[in-house]
Amino acid sequence: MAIPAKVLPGFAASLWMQSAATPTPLTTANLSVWVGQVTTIVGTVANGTGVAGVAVPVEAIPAFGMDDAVASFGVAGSRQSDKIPVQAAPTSMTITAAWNPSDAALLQIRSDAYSGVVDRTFVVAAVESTNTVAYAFNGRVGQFQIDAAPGAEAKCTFTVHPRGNQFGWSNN
Amino acid sequence: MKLSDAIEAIVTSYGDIDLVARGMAVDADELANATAAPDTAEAIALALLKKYNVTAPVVVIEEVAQEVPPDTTE
Repeated sequence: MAIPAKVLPGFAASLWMQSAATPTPLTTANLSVWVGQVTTIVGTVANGTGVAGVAVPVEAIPAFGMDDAVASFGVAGSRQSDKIPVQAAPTSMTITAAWNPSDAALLQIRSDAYSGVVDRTFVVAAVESTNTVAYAFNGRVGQFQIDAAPGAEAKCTFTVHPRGNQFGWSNN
Repeated sequence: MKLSDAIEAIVTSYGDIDLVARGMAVDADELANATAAPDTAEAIALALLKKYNVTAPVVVIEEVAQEVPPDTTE
């Protein structure tokens, strides 16, 4: 997988996703292609909007990228296996956003969470000036909760689970 | 396997494309001469195929004929 050919001294990160209700996610190879692929989601300019994408109004971008996954299994009783190193897996992202029942992106994510089987391409865009580095991945949404505590603004929390090995880096 | 078929398989895959490329044997000479525009899925596929289909450089060993000294026996 190609790594970005840019170094951003400081950047602001934002989250984007395909806007269609039943999108066709980018193929694994196209997740690393900026022109005509990732740009359809994040736009051709920094913090723009692609024709098939929408910004997700998250409060902060959690850690993203890959980690070394492990598999462990349990058996009846109290025994548990050693951790077995497996393929490095993309990191699941648990995201908090201010709950706005009129926001199209959040409503789509809630719908995806109800379904559980909608594959969608998400993009984390790191933007500095006019430079953009994009981390694109395919994922499914699980866990969508609304916290409507009266002492604060309503929040929603959801988790995006990336599909194995379906990620790529690109830049403008 | 035809190179075009291998590229098509990688470009359209939703799996681990590194693993897909590892299992594909293509003609090394055809691969060595293949090109693709940068920032395209085809270029990514070619890079992966070249990773696992290494073209061995052809080494030509030339025999150097040694001159036989003339027979000077009289």
